[in-house]
Amino acid sequence: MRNQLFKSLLISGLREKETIFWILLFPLIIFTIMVLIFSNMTGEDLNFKMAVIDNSADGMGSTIIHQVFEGISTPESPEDDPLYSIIDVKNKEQALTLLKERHIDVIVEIPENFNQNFNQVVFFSKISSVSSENKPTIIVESVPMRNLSKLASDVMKQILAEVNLEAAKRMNISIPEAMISTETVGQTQDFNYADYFLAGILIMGFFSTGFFNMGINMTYFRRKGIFKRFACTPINNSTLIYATILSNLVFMVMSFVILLIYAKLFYHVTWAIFYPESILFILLSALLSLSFGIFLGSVSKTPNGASGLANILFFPMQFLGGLYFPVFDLSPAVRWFVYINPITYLAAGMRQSMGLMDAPLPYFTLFLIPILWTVVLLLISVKIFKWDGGEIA
Amino acid sequence: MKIMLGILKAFLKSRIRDKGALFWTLAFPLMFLVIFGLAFGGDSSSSVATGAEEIRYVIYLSEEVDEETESNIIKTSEMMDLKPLLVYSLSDLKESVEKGYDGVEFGISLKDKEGLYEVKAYFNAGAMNKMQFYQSIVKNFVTEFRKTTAGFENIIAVETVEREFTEEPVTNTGYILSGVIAVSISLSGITALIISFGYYRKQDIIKRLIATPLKGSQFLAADIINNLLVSIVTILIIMFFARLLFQVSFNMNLLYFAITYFSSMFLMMGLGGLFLLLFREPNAAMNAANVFSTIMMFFAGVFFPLELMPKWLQRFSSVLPMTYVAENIRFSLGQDYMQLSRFWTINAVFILIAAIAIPLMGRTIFKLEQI
Repeated sequence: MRNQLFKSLLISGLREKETIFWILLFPLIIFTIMVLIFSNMTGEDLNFKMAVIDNSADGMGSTIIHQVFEGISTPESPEDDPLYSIIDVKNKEQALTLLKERHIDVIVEIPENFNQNFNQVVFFSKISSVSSENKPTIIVESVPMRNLSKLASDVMKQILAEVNLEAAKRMNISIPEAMISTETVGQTQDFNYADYFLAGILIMGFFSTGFFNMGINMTYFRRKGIFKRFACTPINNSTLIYATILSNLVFMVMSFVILLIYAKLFYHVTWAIFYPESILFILLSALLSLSFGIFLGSVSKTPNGASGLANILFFPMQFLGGLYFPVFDLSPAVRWFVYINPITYLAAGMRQSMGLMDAPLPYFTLFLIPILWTVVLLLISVKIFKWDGGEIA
Repeated sequence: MKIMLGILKAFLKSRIRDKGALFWTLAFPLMFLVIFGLAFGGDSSSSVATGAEEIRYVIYLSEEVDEETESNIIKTSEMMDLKPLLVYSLSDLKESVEKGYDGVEFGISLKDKEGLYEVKAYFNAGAMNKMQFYQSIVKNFVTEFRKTTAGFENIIAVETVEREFTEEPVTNTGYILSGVIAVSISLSGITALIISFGYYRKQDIIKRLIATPLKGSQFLAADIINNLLVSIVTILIIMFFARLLFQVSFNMNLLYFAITYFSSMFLMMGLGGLFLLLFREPNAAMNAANVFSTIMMFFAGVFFPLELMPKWLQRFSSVLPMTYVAENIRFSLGQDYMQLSRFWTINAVFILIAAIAIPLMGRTIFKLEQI
C-alpha cells in the first residue's frame, strides 16, 4: 500500500507542470545565470575610453607620457581591443561632457607647467629639493560611482606609478627589485565557479522541494480532509506521510541528477560532489529541507499560508546562506542571520568537502547546526501537528 | 466612466480582500530592499576605492628582514591607509587570512634576498569577489614600498579628481536601492495582466463580463489603473523604509519619476500580456514571466556590475528592458546622470511597445472569450 501511495504521489507530482518547472528546471536556469555572471566577471575584456588633454608645450616629460599612452592604447593583437582607447577631444569642457554622458571613462590632463616642472625635477632635484607643488603633476578625473570609470582611474594610477619607477631607473637611482607571487588560502583544489554554484544550486533545489512541495502538500492534505478520509480506511495516516516524504526525496534525487548531468555536460564540473563527506552534506540538506517542509505543514493552516511562510523563510535563507555569493564579510547588521541560518553551514560544509574552499567556521558546527535545526523543527512539528483542521473537519 | 470606476472599485476591493496576495505585493519588494540594502549597501561607494576606510592586512617578515625594512613597510602602509598586523609564522598568517581574524582582509609575506624582495600575497578563497581589488592593493603597495626603501620621491605626481554629475552626492545604498525599486516596478508590471486577464479568463469571469454592457476597453483600463495604484503604494512603502532603515533620501525629480514609472509599468504590463498571448495558460505565462524576470534581474546591472562582464553579455543585457528601467529610475531618483535625449527616447520606446502590446492582448483575449 505504501508503495502504491508513493507511486501515485510521485506520478501526480510529475504531472504538475509547476513542480517540474520549479523543482527540476528552475535550478538549471539559476545555475546558468550564476556561472555566466561570475565566471565572466574577470574584466579580461576591459577597454577603457580615455580623453587626454595636453596643455603643456612640447617637452621631454609630456613626450614620455605620450609614449606610455601610445603603448597602452595599442592592442596586443589586431583582433583585440587595447586597454585604453584614446578619444580625441578639443578641450576640457568637451571631455567633461563626454565623461558625464558616459562616452569616456576617464580624463587625463597634462597641465601647462608640466614640462617645466618635469625638467626642474629631472635636472635639478639633486641640487635642491623640489616641493610637492612644483612637481610635475598629471590630473586623473573619474566618476567613482561608475565601476568602469573607477577602475580606469585606478589602473591609470598604477601605470603612472610604474612610469615613476622607470624614470628613477633612467636617473640611475637604485630601486630594489621585487617579485610578487600569490596564493589563495582556504582551498585545496583549483577554484571553479561551476563547482561552487553546483553546491549552492543543489541545496537551493532541495530546499525548494522541502519548502514548496513537502510543506504545501501536507497542508493541502489536512485542509482538504485527506488525512481524515484516510483515517476511515485501513491505511494508516503515517503511511501517507512516509509516502509524501519518499516522493519528495525522489524529486530531490531527480533535481540533483538533472542538475549534475547539465552541469557536467555544459560546464564540465568535477566529480567532487561525490566525495564521501560531500554526500553526507547532501543527505543532511535533504533531511533538513524535509524537516522544514514538515514544520511548514504543521504550523500552517492553509496551502496559501504555507506558501507565504515558505517564501518568508526561504527568500532570506537562500540569499543570506551563501548559496550565490560569499556572506561572511557582509555587514554586521545581517551577519547574525548568516550565523543562525542552517543553509550557511550546509553550503560552507559542502564546498569545503568538495575542496573548493575552507569554511571559516569550526568544523563541528558544519554538521551540528543543521542537525540541531532538524531536531528542533521535527520536535516542534510532532508537538503541534494535527491530522484534522481542514475544510471538512 | 461610471462603469469603469465601478469595475475599478471591484478590482481594488478584490485586491484588498486577498490578504495573501496583498501581503506579497508589499512584502516581497520590502524583503528585496532589506536583504540587498543590508548585504550590498555601504556608507559610500567610494569608501573602498579611495581607501577612506582603513584596510587591515597581516604581514609575516622572514628572519633576514631588518628593522629599516620593517619601518618602511609601516611608512608605506600608513601612506596607503593600510593597517599591518605582524605575525611570526607563515601558518599564523594563513590562518588569519582564512578566518579573517581582527578584520584581516589579506596577507603578505616578505623575504629579503640580497636586494631582491620576494613578496607573496595571500588571499582568502571565500572573498573571491574582492580578489581583483586586493591584488591591485598589493601591487600598489609593493611599488610604493620599493620607492620608500630607495628613498625615492615620485617624479610625476598624480592628482585624482572625483567627479559627480548628480545634484546630491550618491551613496552606494541609494544606488542599489534605486535599482531595487526598478526591479519592483518591473516584477509587479510583468505579472499584473497575467494575474487578472489570465486567471479571470480561466475562471470564466471575462466570459460573464462580456454578457454585460461592459466594454473590453473599460475592463482593461480599470485593471491597468488598479495595478498602477497598487504598485505606486508599494513604491512609496519601499521609499519610506529606505529612508527609515538606510537613511536614503532620494533626490527625486517628480516629473521624470512619474514618466519613468508609468512608461515602465505600461511596458512591463505589455510584455506580461505578450506572455499571456503566447502561452494562453496563465500558470505557464506566469512561469515564463518569472523566468524572464529572473534573467533580467541578474543581467540588468542592478546587483552585479555590467561593465566587468564580457562584451557579449553586455550586448545581451542591452536588449533586456529592465536594464533601461533601472537606468531611468536611477536618473529620476537623482542617483545617476543620463542624457535627457536618451531618457525621452527610452520612455517613448516603452510607451510605443506598450501601446501595441496591451491593446493587442486585451482584444485577443476578449475575442477568444466571445467564441
